[in-house]
Amino acid sequence: MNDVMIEAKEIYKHFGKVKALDGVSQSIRKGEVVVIIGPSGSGKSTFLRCLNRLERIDRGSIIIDNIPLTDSKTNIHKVREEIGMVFQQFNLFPHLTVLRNITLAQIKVRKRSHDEADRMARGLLTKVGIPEKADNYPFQLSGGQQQRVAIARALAMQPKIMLFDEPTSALDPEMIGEVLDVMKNLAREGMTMVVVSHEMGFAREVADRVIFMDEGRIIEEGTPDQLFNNPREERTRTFLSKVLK
Amino acid sequence: MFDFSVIVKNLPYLLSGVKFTIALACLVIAIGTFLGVILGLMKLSKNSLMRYPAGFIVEITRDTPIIMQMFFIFFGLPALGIRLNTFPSAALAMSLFAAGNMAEIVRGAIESLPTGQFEAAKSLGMNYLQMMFYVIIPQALRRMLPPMMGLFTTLIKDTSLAAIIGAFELTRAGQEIIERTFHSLEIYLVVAAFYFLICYPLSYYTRRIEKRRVAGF
Repeated sequence: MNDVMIEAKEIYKHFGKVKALDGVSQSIRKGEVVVIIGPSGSGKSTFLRCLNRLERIDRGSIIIDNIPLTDSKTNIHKVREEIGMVFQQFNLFPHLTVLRNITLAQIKVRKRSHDEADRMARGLLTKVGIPEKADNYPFQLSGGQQQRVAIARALAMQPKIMLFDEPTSALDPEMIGEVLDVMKNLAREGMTMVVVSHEMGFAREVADRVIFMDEGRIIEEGTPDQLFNNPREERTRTFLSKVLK
Repeated sequence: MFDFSVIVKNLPYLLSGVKFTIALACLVIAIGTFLGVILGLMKLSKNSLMRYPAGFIVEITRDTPIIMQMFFIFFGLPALGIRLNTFPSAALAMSLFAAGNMAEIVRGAIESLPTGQFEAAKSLGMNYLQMMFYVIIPQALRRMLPPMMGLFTTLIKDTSLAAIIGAFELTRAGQEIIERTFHSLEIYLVVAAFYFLICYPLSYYTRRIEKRRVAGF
């Protein structure tokens, strides 16, 4: 069996004159937790967003669970059902209650019954620690709670991969822990995760692999121990010396 | 001087004018909203085959006077063998005008939503229609409501232009009575009062929801 979940080959992407991705290749195995770090504008978020085609790549190929994203015959909606995504700004649907946020796509996309979707949603809310918020609206929740709902919403689709785009960057410091805890549990359960983050502690603790990107390229990658303790590249060292203070 | 009996005597005729004004307004609002939503969504499309024709129609209808559009349809089209009566001509012209303006309201409201909402919907596997129907339009509707109500009020008042091509509605009814009785003051006052009675509740309701919007999210 092929246990490669994500296979990106030589991907290029530019916005106007800016090269966002400059030949990025990466292969991520099933169950692997990969944390991507790097300065802002390094292309790490762009790379993540290419994996579910929120950004289209200019050149190269991306294969998700044996399905080529770049193939025009690929039904992108089907692929996205299998890829959960969590955003920096949460992006909960403000007009729906927490419960409806989590059941909407289950019902409309996965075609589950209301009962089934409700049960799944309440189960996940318990898992992320806020079962009592089911009937609240997003604006009534703290940032940390909103982000946990966003994770539950993505998980409700029972995806094979979870993408996290700086999930704690918009949070007050005291709320970062509660979101990271949910992510740590998820990692332990064997979810394939790609996380763009500035949380070096999280990367050290749960990542199987850490990737350092700069100027649209992967500069260096390795286990957290290798990358944090013995970085080979000068640029990695410079970056780490700034963020690890 | 001021003759109330003229008003009383001609009230039934004025009321039949009110009926046609309301019918014309409802027709124009219904058709205009339906077409406007479609045109607005087309203008937001990435596909230029959708975007350009919609843009063309929207610009033409917004940047020419309604009265010209009415003249064109009622007096101009017969030259091409298309003959419409006064009422359908007025309804068609005003519906197009409504659609063009509605399209811009729809487009503006949708464009004002954060892109994160579109991305969240897409990342959950929703297709375009699911995304629009369950996520985008319900949120855009809140932002659309006040300008939409404003447009509807304008449309109701502008149905009076139909009188110029001779379509029967409130203003025309008033003009006919004045031609018979020469009591312009009384009749125009009552005609104006009827428009006010139809439009004021809409304006009032619009202000109410605008206030509520500030309180909500």
